[in-house]
Amino acid sequence: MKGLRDEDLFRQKGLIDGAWVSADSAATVDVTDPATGETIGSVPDMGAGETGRAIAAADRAFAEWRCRTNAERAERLFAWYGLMLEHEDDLAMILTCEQGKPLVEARGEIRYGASFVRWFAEEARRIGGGTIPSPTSDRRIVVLKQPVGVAAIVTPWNFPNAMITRKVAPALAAGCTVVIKPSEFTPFSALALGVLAERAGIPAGVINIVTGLPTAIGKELTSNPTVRKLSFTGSTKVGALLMEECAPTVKRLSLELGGNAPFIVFDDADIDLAVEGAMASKFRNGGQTCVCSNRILVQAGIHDAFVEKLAARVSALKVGRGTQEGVEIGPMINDAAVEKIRRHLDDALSKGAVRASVPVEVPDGPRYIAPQVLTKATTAMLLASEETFGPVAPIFKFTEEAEAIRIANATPYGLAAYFYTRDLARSWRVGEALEFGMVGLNTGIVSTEVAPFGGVKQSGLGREGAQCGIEEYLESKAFHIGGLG
Amino acid sequence: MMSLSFDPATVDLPLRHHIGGEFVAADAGIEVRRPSDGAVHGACPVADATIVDRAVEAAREALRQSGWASARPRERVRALHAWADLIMREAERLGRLESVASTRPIAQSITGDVAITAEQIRFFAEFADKEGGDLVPTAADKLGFVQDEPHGVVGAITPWNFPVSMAGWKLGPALAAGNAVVLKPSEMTPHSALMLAELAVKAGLPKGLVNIVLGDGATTGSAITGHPGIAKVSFTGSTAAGAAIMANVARTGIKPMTLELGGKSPQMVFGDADPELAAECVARGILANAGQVCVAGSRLLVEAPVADEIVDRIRKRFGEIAAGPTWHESTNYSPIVSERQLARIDMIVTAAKEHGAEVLTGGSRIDRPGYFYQPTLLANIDEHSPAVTEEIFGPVLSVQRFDTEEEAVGLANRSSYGLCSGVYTRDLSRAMRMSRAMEAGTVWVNRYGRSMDHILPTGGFKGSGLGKDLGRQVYRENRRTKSVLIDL
Repeated sequence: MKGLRDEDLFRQKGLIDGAWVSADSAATVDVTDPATGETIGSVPDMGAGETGRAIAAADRAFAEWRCRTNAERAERLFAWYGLMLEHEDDLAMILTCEQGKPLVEARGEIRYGASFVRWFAEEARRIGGGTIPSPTSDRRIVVLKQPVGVAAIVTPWNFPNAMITRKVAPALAAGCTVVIKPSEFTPFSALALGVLAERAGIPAGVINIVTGLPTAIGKELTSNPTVRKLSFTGSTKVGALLMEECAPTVKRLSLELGGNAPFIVFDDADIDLAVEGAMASKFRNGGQTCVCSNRILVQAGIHDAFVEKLAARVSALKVGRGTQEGVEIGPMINDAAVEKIRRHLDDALSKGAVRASVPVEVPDGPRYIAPQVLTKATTAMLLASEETFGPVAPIFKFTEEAEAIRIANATPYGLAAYFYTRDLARSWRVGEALEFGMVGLNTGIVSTEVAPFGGVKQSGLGREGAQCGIEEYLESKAFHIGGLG
Repeated sequence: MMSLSFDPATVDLPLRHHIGGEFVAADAGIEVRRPSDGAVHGACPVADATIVDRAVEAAREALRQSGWASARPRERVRALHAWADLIMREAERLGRLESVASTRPIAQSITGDVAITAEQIRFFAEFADKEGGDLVPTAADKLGFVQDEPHGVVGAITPWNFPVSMAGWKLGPALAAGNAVVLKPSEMTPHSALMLAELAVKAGLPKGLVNIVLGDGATTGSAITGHPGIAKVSFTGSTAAGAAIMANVARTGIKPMTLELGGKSPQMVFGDADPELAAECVARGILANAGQVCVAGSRLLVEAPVADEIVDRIRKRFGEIAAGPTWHESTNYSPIVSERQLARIDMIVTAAKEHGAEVLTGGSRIDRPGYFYQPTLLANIDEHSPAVTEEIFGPVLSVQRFDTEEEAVGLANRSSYGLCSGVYTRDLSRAMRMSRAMEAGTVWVNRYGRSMDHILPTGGFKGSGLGKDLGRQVYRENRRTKSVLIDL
């Protein structure tokens, strides 16, 4: 890849047991730049055989890695973290070329991704257990924390770096080893992390990366009994399928799935703060994040003023290639994504939605979608019940607080929700009533390594980040000691 | 329903120590007067060092013989629950003992104070088999863990304003954590603690686990806090007495202390607050027990544009009190505990008046038998006046106006105390800002007073004390931790 300071970070091979390898069949999958459609490289199209060998390598490495002291594991993670920051520019460039997001956002993701490695390196020293008051005086009860074992890590294309570190860092800190299957759309960010892990002295086999189309690899990861844990970020549909496939071997699961985030603005909100929050939560990564607000609910009294301010901001957004200076919205990831957004737009406009923002100029190319604000959105529209995953901001008008809560909760998803109010009593009332795993009050950002991230209802199982992030990779063993005088 | 009112002459409990599970005869000492009418209701013995020594020895013996600390934690839970049940069965008798010579009206002591005492004992008991220690990450050839254990004998000293529930605060967590206790109630209100000890024995707690020694601070209190057999001190009372205890502990042998001391807590009412709610909370915050509460909200800080309205509402609320003897069911306004305390309140108010303070209402004792003082509002008051800086421990509320939030924070924190603070606002950001800005161990927003969950720890910053009562913290303060490292 051109323009990298360290060309070695760009790898077109998988990583198994410390060796950079091709597919057994020598088949490859091309990876394209979504901005241009041009091929930027290819990765091996691996299958069950390579995946099985990667799992076996992880299992062999587990025996040694788990026995290292927490401090030793932490030291390797700190080294990895340092290398990520050192190579921030190159990692961001690789990310933008395969994913499309503006370079400034890509740099943000590298720092965000690295923050999980630092956090869990620190947390490694704090994996304790407990002593429990025994119900009889001749016994002691101790709870030991032990690593789960080999973990399969299956990650999406929208955060090609951070979705990996958020899973791999706690796994390694806990003493687990991993087999990573990155999205076939964005494998190079994962492989670059693999290069840096080697340089950081993380032993061969602790991190394995298998690339290619998902079906065969996924089947092996979910059915191989040596894999004790699967962590996946992606759609609810695929999450449910993986859950089903993992059932026969009863694997532990962390699933971070789809959302349909409401963004509620009450009459008493600070309107400028709310507009700022809506921009951040709706348009980050071109609207392609699972916590992006999908439905903006605005109370009647503040509705027109809010729409006016938001439309002005959206009309001024700059769309273009992620590597261009000043670009705020890049291309969408692929043709299927573009098709879905257009379907949502056509459906909404045919059912009475009205464009409130000035049309934004977009470059030529099939993957660009102009960001826009729609008013008069209703719950009968597709964009009310499906995740649009694009830069379209539909606004629903409501009058009563209870109505807003009812609409917000009327979804099988429960990932993130946002609301804006200055009223103390309403803050708690609404915050408690929203059925979501993460709630932002007067903020449009809920992602940080220090807070638990994850959903309720069909948005998933388990939490990432924070102290609880490492629990996902630990088992509790109750150790009963009897016969003590 | 039968009336709760009673004839104080029918209430009798001889004032003796309770050591090793038995009442111990003692010479009469300090006169106990009833605050409601000033009549003498007994004489409180004063335990000297020899008596205290006997009590400590009884406590140690009880720990040795009973295995209270080493037996199954569930046993402690069971015994403490049985004690709480008995306290509830005897609520009426205990409530009368509480109300006869204290400031607590019978309607509040039976259904409030006694019920809370029982509930707190249950709450603390339940920690006994739930609080463990940590296993720590070390190299694989080592085993490191934190083992916690009781201190041994806890010395507790409780005040006269809420005699039975303060005894429960100290006894409940100390016993649940596996300690024995030597407790000295206030010499002005010794009755209910003695009955708690009696009920503990009846409920099956090992004899000697709860020992009550009567007496004053100078003789009995010092003997307890300075005793080498007392492993930890827990005290609730004035800042001056707390400082004296610290000095005594420093002189006689260092030991851990929990000190819950005085306060001069601000009540900050902002212009955007619900005026009815704010006025009611502020009024109750100073009327409760006639201001004889450590957490009394005694300084009203009110935003200028709403000051007149808030003050008017509070003045009106002050007019709705029903002062009367503590043994009358209809009484909702307490007497002051003693003639001496009443004189001190009056002296501070008089001095403030002489220095130009305006008395908006009240300002003198109530003309009736006993020691009653009018609810008093002082305005235009010099901020260095003792009425603003000192804990009055009476129904006196000073009023200061402010224009900006910054000014309000400055006034609120300009105090040597840091126990509590009340904030009244509808604004979310302000509520969060104020909860950070207050130099106080507790902040109440749009309410004043503890919830009855017992789960939030209570304790002051600055001159208001050390350590915490209530919550998980008080259980932990009643245990000590030991680090164990084993090479395998």
